[in-house]
Amino acid sequence: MTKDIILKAEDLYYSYDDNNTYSLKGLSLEIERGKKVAFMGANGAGKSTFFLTLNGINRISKGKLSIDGKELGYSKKELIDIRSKVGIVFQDPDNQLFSASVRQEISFGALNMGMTEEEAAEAVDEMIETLEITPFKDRPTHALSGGQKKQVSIADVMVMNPEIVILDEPAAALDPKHTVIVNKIINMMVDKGITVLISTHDVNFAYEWADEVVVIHDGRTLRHGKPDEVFSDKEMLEMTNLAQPAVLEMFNSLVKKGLLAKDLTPPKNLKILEEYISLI
Amino acid sequence: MLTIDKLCYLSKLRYENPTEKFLYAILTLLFCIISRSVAMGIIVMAVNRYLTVHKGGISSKRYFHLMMIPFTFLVLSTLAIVVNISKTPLDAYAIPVGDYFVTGSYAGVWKGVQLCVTALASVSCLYFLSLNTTMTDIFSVMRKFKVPNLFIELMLLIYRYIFILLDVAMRIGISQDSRLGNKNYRTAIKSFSGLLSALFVRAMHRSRYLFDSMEARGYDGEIKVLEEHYPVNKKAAGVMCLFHLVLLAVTVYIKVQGVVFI
Repeated sequence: MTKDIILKAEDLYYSYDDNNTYSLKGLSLEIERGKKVAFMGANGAGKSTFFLTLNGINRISKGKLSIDGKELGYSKKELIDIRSKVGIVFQDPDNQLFSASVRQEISFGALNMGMTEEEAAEAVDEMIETLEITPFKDRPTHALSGGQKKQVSIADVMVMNPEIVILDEPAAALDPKHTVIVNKIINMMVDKGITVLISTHDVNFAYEWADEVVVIHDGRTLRHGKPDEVFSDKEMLEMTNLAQPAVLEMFNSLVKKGLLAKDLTPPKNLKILEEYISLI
Repeated sequence: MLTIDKLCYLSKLRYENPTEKFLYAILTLLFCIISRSVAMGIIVMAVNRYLTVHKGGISSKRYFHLMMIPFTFLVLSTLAIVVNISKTPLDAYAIPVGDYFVTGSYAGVWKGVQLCVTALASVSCLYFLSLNTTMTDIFSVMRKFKVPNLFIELMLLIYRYIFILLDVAMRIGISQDSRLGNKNYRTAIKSFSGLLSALFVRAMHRSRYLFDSMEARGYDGEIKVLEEHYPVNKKAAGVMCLFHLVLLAVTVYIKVQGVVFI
C-alpha cells in the first residue's frame, strides 16, 4: 500500500530578514494523513516558523512544500485554498481572538472561506455545541478565562473544516481541567481523520499521545520516528536537552534489573507499566 | 470605565433590538439639546433612570454614582455662568465682598440651570445606550447605518485590545511595584516611562501576531463576521414613537413661541 502523504517538505529555507541568516535551514519532512505528530525542540529551533510556512504566512525562500499533493503557491486563490486546509491554533489566544463576541470570533474564518451567512451560522453553532463553549458563549472574550479562550481559539480553526490542524503548545498555561478538555477536543479531531500536529515541551505527553515524534533542531529535522525509537536515542536527547519520558526510563531500569522481560513493548503510560509490574 | 463595560453584559435589556435602543437614545438626546428645556430634561432623566434601573436591572445606587461623575464636572463649569464678580449688583442675588459683589442675574442663573439639566439629560441618554447595549451590538447598528467599514473595524480592534493592553500594563505595574519601582517620585516617573515604552513595543508585537493569526484564517483585508439578529420589540417601538412625538411637539412649541422659561 502506498503511503498517503498529506504534507511533504523538501529542503525548506526561510529567513525572517532576507539576510542569509536562516531560521529554517534545509528542513525536510514527510507526514502521513491522519497521524498524530508531536513536534519537539528548544525555543527558537524553528517549530513555530515552520508551522507558519505551512499555511503560507511565512513564504519560503528556498525548497519545496507540498500539502495534499499540491505544491504550495502564493497566489490569492492558492492561499485561500491552503488556509482552509491547514489551520493553526496559536499559542496565546489573546493574539488570535480579535472580536469581543464569541460567535463573531468563530464566524470569521468560516465567512472568509466563502460560506454564506446561513451556512456559517450553522457551522458556528455546531462548533459552540461540540467544543462545549455554550456556557460562556454570550460573555465577551475579554471576560473569559485562559482555558475558555483556548477553546474558542480552537473552534476558530475547526469551523473551517481543515485537513491539518496545528496546535502551538496547546497546553501552555492551562489548568488541569482545561487540559483535559483540550485533549478531548484533540482526540475528537483525530477521530474525524484530521492530521494533528502539536508542538510541545512535554515529553511525557508526546510519548504517550503521538504516533510520530519530530525533533527540530537548529532549523532542521534532527529526528523523525516512532516515539519509543526517538526517546531511546540518548545521544540525540542530550543534544537537544530533552529528558526521557519518566515511564520509559522506569521501564528501562526495571528491565536492566531483570524484573521485567526485555521483549515487552515499552509501556506508553504509567497504567500499562503498573500492569506489567503487577504481573511479576 | 471598565465597570461600565461589565454592566452592559448583565443588563436585562441586553438582548433587546440594538437599533431600537440606539434610535431611542440618539433621538431623545437630540430633542434635549435642541429644545434646551429644563422640564423636558428632567422628564428624560426620569425616563432613562426608570429604563436603566427598573427595566435593565442596574442597582439604583450604582446608577446614582455614575450620574454623579458628570454632575460634578457640570456644576464646576456652570459656576462661571452663574457667578459673576462686579461692582454693580445684579438682579438675582448679590453678596458684598469689600468694594465688589459676588452676584448673578436671573437670566444667568436660569441659563446655568438649563445647561446643567440639558447636559445631564444628554449624558443619561448615552448612559442608557452604553449600560444596556454591548459594544458588539453597537458595531452592528453602525454597520446598519452604513458607517464606513474601516471605521468600524478599527473600533472593533481597539475595543478588544484596550483590555489586553490594560492587562499587560497592570502586570508590568505590579512587577515594578514588587521591585520597589515606585518608592519615590523619581523612580515612579522613571518606572512609568519604562512602562509606556514597554507597552508600546508589546503593542507592536501584538499587532504583528494578530495579523498573522488573522491571515491564517483567510483574512483578506475586510473583517467579515456574523451579525446577531434580535427581533424588533413592536410594543417598545410604539411607545418610543409616542414619546418622541410628544418631545417633538414640545420642542416645536418652544422654538416657535420662543419660550425661555420651560
